[in-house]
Parts: sequence; C-alpha cells; structure tokens
Amino acid sequence: MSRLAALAKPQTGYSYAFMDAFAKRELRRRMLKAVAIPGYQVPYASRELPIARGWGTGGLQATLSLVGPETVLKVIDQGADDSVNAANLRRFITRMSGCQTTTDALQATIIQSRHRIPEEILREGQILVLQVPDPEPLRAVQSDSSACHHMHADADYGQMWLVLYEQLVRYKRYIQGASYPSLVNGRYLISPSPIPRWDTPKLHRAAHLTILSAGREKRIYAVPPYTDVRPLEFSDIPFQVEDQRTWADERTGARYKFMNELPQADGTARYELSDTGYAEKLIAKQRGQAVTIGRTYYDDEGNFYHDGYLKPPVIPEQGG
Amino acid sequence: MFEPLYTPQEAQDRRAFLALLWAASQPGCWQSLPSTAPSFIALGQALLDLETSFYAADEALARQLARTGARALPPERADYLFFPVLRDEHLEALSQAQRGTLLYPDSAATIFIGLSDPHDEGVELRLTLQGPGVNGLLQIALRGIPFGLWTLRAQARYPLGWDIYFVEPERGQVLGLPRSTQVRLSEAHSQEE
Repeated sequence: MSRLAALAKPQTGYSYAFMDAFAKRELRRRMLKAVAIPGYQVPYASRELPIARGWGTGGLQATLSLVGPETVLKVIDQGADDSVNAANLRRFITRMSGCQTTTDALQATIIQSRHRIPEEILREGQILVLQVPDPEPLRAVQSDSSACHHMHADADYGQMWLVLYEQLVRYKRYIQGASYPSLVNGRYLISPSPIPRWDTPKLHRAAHLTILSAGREKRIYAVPPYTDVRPLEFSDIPFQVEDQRTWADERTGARYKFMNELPQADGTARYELSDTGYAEKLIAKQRGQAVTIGRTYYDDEGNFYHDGYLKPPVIPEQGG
Repeated sequence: MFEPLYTPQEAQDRRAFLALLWAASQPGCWQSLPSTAPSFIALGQALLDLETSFYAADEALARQLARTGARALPPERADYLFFPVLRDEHLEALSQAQRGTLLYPDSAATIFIGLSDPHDEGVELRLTLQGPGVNGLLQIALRGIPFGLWTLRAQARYPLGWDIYFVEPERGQVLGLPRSTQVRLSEAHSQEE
C-alpha cells in the first residue's frame, strides 16, 4: 500500500477541493460580505458541481471553499450522518480535500447540515453550514424577487406580521413549522433554512458561525457568533418550539431532544432521536464506553440554555 | 484514491481567507495571516482577480496587486482599498470609498489599513466594540490611525458602510471591524503620558 502510494502522482485533474481558484475566491469574497451584513442575502455565482442543484450544492460550495486538510468534517441530513445525501456529500468533500470526518458534533470543525442543528452546544471556532432550498422568507407574501429585494432594503416586513396575525385568527397559534422567519441583528429577516422551530433559537447569540447557502437560488447569508436572532412573534403571543415533552427516544430513553416519529401499523408511534451522532454517544455511554457528551441546548427538563428566551405558551382568547 | 494537490498558493489563499472570515466574525480579535507572503500581498492574492478592482495608496503595492489581474481604479469606484499606512493626507481618498446602497449594501468597499509599528510613537485610541460577533462588550486599543477615520466611518448608517480590516504586517495579523460593529471611542491619549 505505502509503496503504491509513493509511486502514484498527485491527482492533477481537479483543483484542490474541486472548485477552481476563481470560483473559490468569488465565493469567499461573498462570504465575507455575508458575515459583515448579518442576514443580508449576498448573490453569488453558484458553479456547476457533480451534484444537481437542489441537492445541497449551496452548502457544498460553502464547505468546499472553507475545507482544508486539517478540517474535521461532519455532514448531516435531517440529523442523520448516514443518510444517502449526507454520505455522498461527505465522501465527495473528503475525496476532494483529504479532510478528516466525524459523526461527533463536538469534534467537528465544519458541520454541513441539511435542516438540523446538532443537540450539543456548538463552540467558538466551529462553522455550521446550512443547506438552503429557498433563502427568501418573503416568498409567500411576494412572489417577485425584485420586490422582495426592495422590501428587505426598506426593512418592510409588515406583510409577514399580517401572515402571523391571520394564523392566530384562524388557528390560534403560529402554524409555520420549519424555516420560521427570524430577524437577524434587528435588521434583516431571514429564513433560517427548513430547520424545525426546535432549532431556530439555537442560532440566537450562538458561539459558532453559521453560513447559509442556497445553490439553486445563488444566495449566501450568515449569522455571525453572538448575534441576535429573534423569531417573529407578537409580544403577547410568544413563539413556541415543537411540543414533544411526552416523547422519549426508544433506545436511550432521552427526552427533550428533537425526535423522529415512526408511525406503527397499530396506530401508535415510536420515537427516535433525530440527531444520530448524539444518539450514538448516548448509547455508547449506556454501554459503559468512554465518550464525551457535551452540554445540550435543551437540558433534560426541556429548559433552553438562554434563560428567558423561550416563553411559556399563550393561547389567544376566543373571539378576542 | 488521492485527493487533488493542496498547493502552497492554495494553502496561502485559504489561510488568508480564514483569517479574514474570523476577523469579520469576531471583530476586535487579532487573527494570524499566512507567513508565506507579506501580509498585504497575501490578502490581495486571496481576494483579487479579474472580476475585482482595487485602489492602493502605495505605488509599489499597487504594482504587485495589479499582477492578480484586478483593475486599478480610483478610490470612489474600487471594491478593495489598500492603505499600507493611513495618514491624514489619505483621508481625502478614503472618504470617497463606496458605502453601498440600501438595495445593494454589499457593493460597499472593503478597506485594508496597515498599522504602523506597534512600538512606534503615536496616539493610541481605546475603542469599545459592540455588535454581532462580540460577546457583550470588547475593549481594544489601536495605535497610529488618524482620528478622521472614525468620523468618516460614522457617516454611514448600518447596513451601509465599510468593512475595515486593520493589518499589522510586522506581526502578520489582521483585525476586523465590519460595518455591523458599533464603535465607541472611550479615551484618547498619547504614548508619552
């Protein structure tokens, strides 16, 4: 093995990390702007990749322009390290950069994710890259993207408040599930990508850097560390995360973490942790193996780590 | 399976970019630039190419940056402005740099300012930083920058404004002050005190 490796020439058919120097420089310039203007959607070129647009090319390009030989990479898809999309992206990035991989959120330096943020609290110096299918939070109220651009310029988000109001009138609660619109640094409204409401508060004053990249829509935006991220909510009807307090993971018994619901033939349901890397560590610990389990965003009683950020639920009164 | 070659140039550009990324993400914290090239050259090579434009207040630096293929433009049109040292006579050029528009705040200029030798005599300014990337408040001290810079910076209101990076070429370090950072000048005194 080692002799063959010594004889083989370095691969020269591709640039390091697949993208050519021009493409990387362009994306890096945009990324710096995105960090400097938290929440503002910076347009970028979005190059062709050997993966179709809509399969995580935005996140992939961001990761490829960040990755290096010393990187420890974690790729997740809906919380799972082993789903097809995550496995293929991980293999591609490793082949093109020689980086290390892990399933442990604490050991990773870059975490590319489709629609979840890990349960364990990320630290300073880590980068979370979120894949974004639709970066425009105003799409539902304004289909013209130029008009949306003007609305962002004017911080004109009145129609979003109207949408929330109508939801309260009809359903007595905010019905938006994933991609809950959130205000970054008090200025720009973002779609936090289709992460569940459970994960949205994790962006608020987080220690890590979050890069959100939409390859098909060619926009990149960012939430720097220690930046205010507030889900849109009326002051008297607070934003709520998913209520899963009666759900427990069937393998570890863990509660107050985001769960997958597995419907059974008899009409009941079983539940499993959505974050497989975290579940793996819990199981290893129960077997007596030495693992480091980090502090989680939600503790075992369901309390969020920023005191007072999540408020108790309020149901609007009938006919109010 | 062998991955593509991580060339020295590739490594230098990536290290310089990561220094800038963390400088922008953690305003007021010094980040290390690659030591394989002079700081301003490493920054120029990491960011500039045919698609960009620059202004350099120094002839020799301008010649070297032009090798990236980027166009040299006057300060009011350039995307990236380089001031190896910033003195009062440079403020006129700096004041013309683009601050962006509300529709395209990303069209604002990025400005690199060299700090003179830290042992040099000069006025030291104490700054209190607040905003995205700063956990609470952060106090830093910078030496050798004309006071006029802060007046000019304050003329633009967020989300407009310049993304400024201070460079210490001697130590090979960079410190970011993106437009999102609120700066309060606490006190000013000279080193001789």
